Amino acid sequence: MEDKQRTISVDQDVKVMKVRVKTGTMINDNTILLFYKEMNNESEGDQLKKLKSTKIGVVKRVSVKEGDIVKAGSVIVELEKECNHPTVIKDLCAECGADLQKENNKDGASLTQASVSMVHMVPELKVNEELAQILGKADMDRLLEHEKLVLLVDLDQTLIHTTNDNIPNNIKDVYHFQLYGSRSPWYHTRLRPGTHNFLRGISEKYELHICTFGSRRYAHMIARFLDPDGKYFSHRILSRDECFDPNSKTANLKALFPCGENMVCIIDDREDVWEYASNLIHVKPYHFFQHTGDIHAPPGLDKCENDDTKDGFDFSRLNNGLIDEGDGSSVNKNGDHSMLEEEETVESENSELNHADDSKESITKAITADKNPIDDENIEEVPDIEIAPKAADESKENVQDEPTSTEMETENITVKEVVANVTEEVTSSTSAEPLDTSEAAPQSSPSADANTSAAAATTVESSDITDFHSSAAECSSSSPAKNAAGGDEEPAVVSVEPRVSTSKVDADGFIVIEETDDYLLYLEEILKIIHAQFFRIREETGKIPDLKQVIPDTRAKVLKGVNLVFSGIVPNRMRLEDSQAYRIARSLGANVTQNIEPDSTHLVALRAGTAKVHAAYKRKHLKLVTPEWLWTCAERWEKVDERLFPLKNAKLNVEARHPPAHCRSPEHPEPSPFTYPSGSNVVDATNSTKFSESQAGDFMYTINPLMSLSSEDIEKMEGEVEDIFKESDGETEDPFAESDEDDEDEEDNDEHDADSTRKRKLSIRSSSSDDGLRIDEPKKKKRKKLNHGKEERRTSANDYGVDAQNDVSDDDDDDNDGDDDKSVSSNSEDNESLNTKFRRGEALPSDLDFDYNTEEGTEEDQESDGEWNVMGAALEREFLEGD
Amino acid sequence: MFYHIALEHEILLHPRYFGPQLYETVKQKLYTEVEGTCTGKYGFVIAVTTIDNIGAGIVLPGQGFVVYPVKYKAIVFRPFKGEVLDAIVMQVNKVGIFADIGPLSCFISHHSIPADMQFCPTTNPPCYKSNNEDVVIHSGDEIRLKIVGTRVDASGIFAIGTLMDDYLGLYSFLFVILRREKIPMKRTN
Repeated sequence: MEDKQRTISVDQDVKVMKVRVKTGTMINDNTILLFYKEMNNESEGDQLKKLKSTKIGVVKRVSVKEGDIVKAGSVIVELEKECNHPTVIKDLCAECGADLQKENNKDGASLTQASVSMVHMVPELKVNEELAQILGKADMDRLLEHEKLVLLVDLDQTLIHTTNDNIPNNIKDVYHFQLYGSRSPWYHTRLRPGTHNFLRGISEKYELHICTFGSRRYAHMIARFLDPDGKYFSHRILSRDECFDPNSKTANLKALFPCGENMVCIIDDREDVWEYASNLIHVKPYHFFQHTGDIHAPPGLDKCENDDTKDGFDFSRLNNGLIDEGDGSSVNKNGDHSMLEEEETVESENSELNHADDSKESITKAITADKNPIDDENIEEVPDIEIAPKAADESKENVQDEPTSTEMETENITVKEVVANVTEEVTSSTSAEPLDTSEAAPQSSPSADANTSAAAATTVESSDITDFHSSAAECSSSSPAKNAAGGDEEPAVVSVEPRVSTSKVDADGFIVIEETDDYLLYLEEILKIIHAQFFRIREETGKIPDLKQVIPDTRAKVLKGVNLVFSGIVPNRMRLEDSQAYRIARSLGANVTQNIEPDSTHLVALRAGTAKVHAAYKRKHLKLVTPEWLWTCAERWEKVDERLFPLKNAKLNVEARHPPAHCRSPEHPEPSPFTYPSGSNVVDATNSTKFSESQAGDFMYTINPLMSLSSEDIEKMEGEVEDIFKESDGETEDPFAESDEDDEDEEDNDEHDADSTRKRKLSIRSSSSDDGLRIDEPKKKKRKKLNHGKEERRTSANDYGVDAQNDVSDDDDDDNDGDDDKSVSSNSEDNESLNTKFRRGEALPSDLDFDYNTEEGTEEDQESDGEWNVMGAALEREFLEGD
Repeated sequence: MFYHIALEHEILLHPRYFGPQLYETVKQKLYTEVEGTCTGKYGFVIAVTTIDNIGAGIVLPGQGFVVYPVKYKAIVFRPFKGEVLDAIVMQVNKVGIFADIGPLSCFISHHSIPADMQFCPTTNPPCYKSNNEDVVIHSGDEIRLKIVGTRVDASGIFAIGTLMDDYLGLYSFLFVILRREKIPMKRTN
């Protein structure tokens, strides 16, 4: 049968006059094979007829020659094996040109197995499995030969940040572009500091591919910014248009790397789109433009999602602030602080400023030259910083005097944004100067952030001409990279002429913004280590290692030999092994123990003053660090100097308890839910000596339930509550059903409280500290404790309004002694009785009750609820007294 | 292959154009509507050469629009199987070469590239290189290819090409061969 299909024969006796094909000729449908004369029909004489091919293929053998007389049915041409269409594009076989749409229709079934889309940009070009393997193998061999690995690079928030908000068009190093003609929206893209250096460095070790959820045009536009010569990415750009799955980039991997992903490393700021692959390096997201998260987030997510309002450079604010240039009121305010410069910050600022643009320095010098120096000594030391408020004031007046155009706000502005490790003093002193803080270094405490951003809000609105912000020690290390990055990009398409030429105008009238984001330096280091590790293993074993193992292994070497103890980080209700901190530490290779052991090397403590911290003071070799130390280690994949994160003087920063999102280790896909212990576990936890962790316990439990609550957990919680009530049934006055209901309410509240207010935190903190205190008194009856725990939890959930005031005072000395405990508990008992009294009051209007039970609203609602409760109770009392 | 053929097209004109410039408008509209388009039958309309006749306009009832049947001659480009054409290489990858023949894009599978030419991904830009490195094809180069298949659909035509035949391949290198063999060379398009 096969032979028959692969041959062409004649259906009548003919005389071959001329053969048009020979061995090796490719024939298609209708290709003329030969000219012939019919033998039967003599009447037509010399007329030549054409024999056309009905098949497609390559001629293997021609079995006739000119002059032969061929009988009907005999074979004329044999064809090679039929083309199996290994490469298909747009339903055309790229080998033989056959139209597969036609053939498929004819045969009913698809003729080709070509299904692997191997070229990034052309998804319709497909090859079959076999060919894909060959091509993939060739790729792999080539990479191995050149000692390269594959690196898939995400764009948005990894290497760049793009916004489509309105921003001033004269910010230095921001690219402006439109994708779909002149009427389409503008996009503004800023490259992460050091991107060019990063790409240059890393392209020697890795073959770079872009994998982005941006549209094809967008991806190619950005690629042109990143790589104008095409030497890094070439055509290896995979965009949303080519993605098989709109929610995941993983689906494309199989096609792009048919021989497996052994050599594929991924950098991305989102783990979910890679399905938490272990060969993914989770990058600290790059955030430059405020109010814009990832503009190409997978569908279903807003672009503002993940937008931390504290982060990013807010141009609207800059804009507005600068428009209000006339407002000089805040300048005087600034003047009060101007002399608070500390010697240390002066130094760091000096080093920072040495890297700054010459133009900026000349500008600022020009300003200071104009006026009477306020403090000679300081000015001599740091002329650049000492643009005293007065100077700023005067320069502002200068500007006002100049004839200005509407766009005046955009000129002569030099904004330097810098922050790292800002202590509060530094913040307050620098707030004397106009500053804008946008990039908060990861280790600077949020409270400090809040300060700086608050300061920024006021001072930026005062619209000063030159902004400087002092930086701490770390900035000086990162500044070279910054400058290098800043130097080699020219602002793109649009530029604005400086409208008013004063002595302070930046050379081109651009706003220069410097950032402290130096993450790419660390990332480059990480990638180089992985590369070295990969090829060392290959050399040693002769086999090709899998990056899915190499990368976690590399990560596990970061803190190898380090023995950590946590204090105040893991809630006492949670098993150590279940906590994020534990997992991160483990993924970095550290050992974690519950308590301080002889071989412990580090104590990671949220705050000073816990039992473990006191114990640690007695041991000299034990290093005390804040949780930020661990998170920074996880972020940079290196053992960060512990001295940068001393526990001493560290401000309490409760948010530091949770690792930043990008520090989570990819091996542990889901931040797994906190385990809520059953009743017996509570007892265990309280019996243990984990003093400080127990402090964290209830707080964690209430502050962040959203992070972790699954329906299972809620069930478990309910079970726990019931257990407790069964145990304490005899002692409590509360009717079982009622309190059960209450506790359910509490859960509801917890669930709806994503953002807890300050008040709420206080009450929660107090309750958690109560736990800690109780643990200090092991003689107390367990049952009593449980009872307390229950009451307090209810208290914290229900009676913020009432409790908060007391709690503020309790909070400060919560780890002193047991006396406090009594007062607190009696306090809460009072409130409890008030509350229960209120709830038992049949005389109260029923709608109040109803409101309470169905209340699912916000914190405010609940607070006012609490107030209502009190008012209701008071009303009731009045009634009773009146009677 | 290029043809100079007579074609017809209907121009729909808004009443606001009714005036002294009416015929001028119709002509302009014809150019913009027709040039650069692609039909399955005639291929790409490259340029309108002459407008032979603008027929009597018919007012569409209820709208006021007028339809003018226009007869014109145009140069069209219609690729055929087996045709040999000159193309410019647009992209080179491990699966093959993408090349443009004017408005027509064409793909050449690496199986249809002579076996002595190997894909060489390490150079920038990547290229196909012959073993003795005489012939290097990378993007931007001119090549001569033969079309083995076309896909004609509403939006355009796509072609499959091959370099596996005599006197196909890198254009600049063909000169060398042809000079060696003393064959006069002329462009196909």
